[in-house]
Amino acid sequence: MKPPRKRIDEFEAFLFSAYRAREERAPDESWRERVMSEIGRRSVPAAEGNDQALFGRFAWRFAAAACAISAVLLVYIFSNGIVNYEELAMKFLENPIDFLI
Amino acid sequence: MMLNACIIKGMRESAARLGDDELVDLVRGGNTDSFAYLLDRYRPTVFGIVSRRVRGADVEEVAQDIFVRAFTSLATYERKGEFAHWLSKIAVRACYDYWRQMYRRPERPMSSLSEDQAEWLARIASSASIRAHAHEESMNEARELLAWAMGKLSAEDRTVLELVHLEERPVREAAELLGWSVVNVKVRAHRARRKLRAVLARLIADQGGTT
Repeated sequence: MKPPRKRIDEFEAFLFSAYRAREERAPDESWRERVMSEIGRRSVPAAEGNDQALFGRFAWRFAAAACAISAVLLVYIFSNGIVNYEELAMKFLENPIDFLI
Repeated sequence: MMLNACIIKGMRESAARLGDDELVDLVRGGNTDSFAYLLDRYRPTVFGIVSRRVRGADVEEVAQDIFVRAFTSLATYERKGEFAHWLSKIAVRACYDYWRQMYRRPERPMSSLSEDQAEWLARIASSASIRAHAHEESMNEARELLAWAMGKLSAEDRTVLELVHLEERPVREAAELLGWSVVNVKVRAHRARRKLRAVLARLIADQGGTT
């Protein structure tokens, strides 16, 4: 049988207050040394990755727009076909009579 | 010798007075040791976040991982003057990743309540007033039981529940920390709490505390 709502509320509030009353742990000095020695083994993050990060940010920002444009172009190509108007114009200008006949 | 010690002490004191962004610039410029000042400054913040979310034995390891992640991601730090917030984001996401990994492990611990927990719960469930148990020993039991109940939730539900309901952070802040939309956080937090309440209701019912 399901307990009454009030009982669950009370139980939940008790558990939540216990969670909030939890004491924070404080690390010892050896922990600090471990972290700093781990960091010492890593390379300096300054220049490296900066360009990559910049590229990543911009690439993702425009990814959605690029996909939408590609989709529109695909639909256009499938519905109208690929016609090279420039080539047709050149042929016409080179030899208009042949072209028309 | 004495002079050297004074100079080093003076340098340390002036470095400790530098702002976060200045320290970040120093680290980026190759002075890795300056990261120690950021570490000392934000150790309480990170441990405050991790201590509540992660099992006691794993707190130091996760906190270490957070600072190493922060160091290796310093190139992406750009929001001037908000280092604490940037670091908190890394910390919250590291805790989330921790639980995702824990849930993926084949041997998921705590499939049922321990004898002590069951006994404590039976006492609570049969008691007229739950508030009467609010002493330190009982609080520890309560924390363990809550951790057990939260183990029934997914890593996502657990994280959002902690941020919104247990720590009572504003939804917008939780959304920013997690990188989720505000609506997603609202919906997830609501569902997660409902799931948790269902687990608690089952626990009370199993102990016969339906009155």
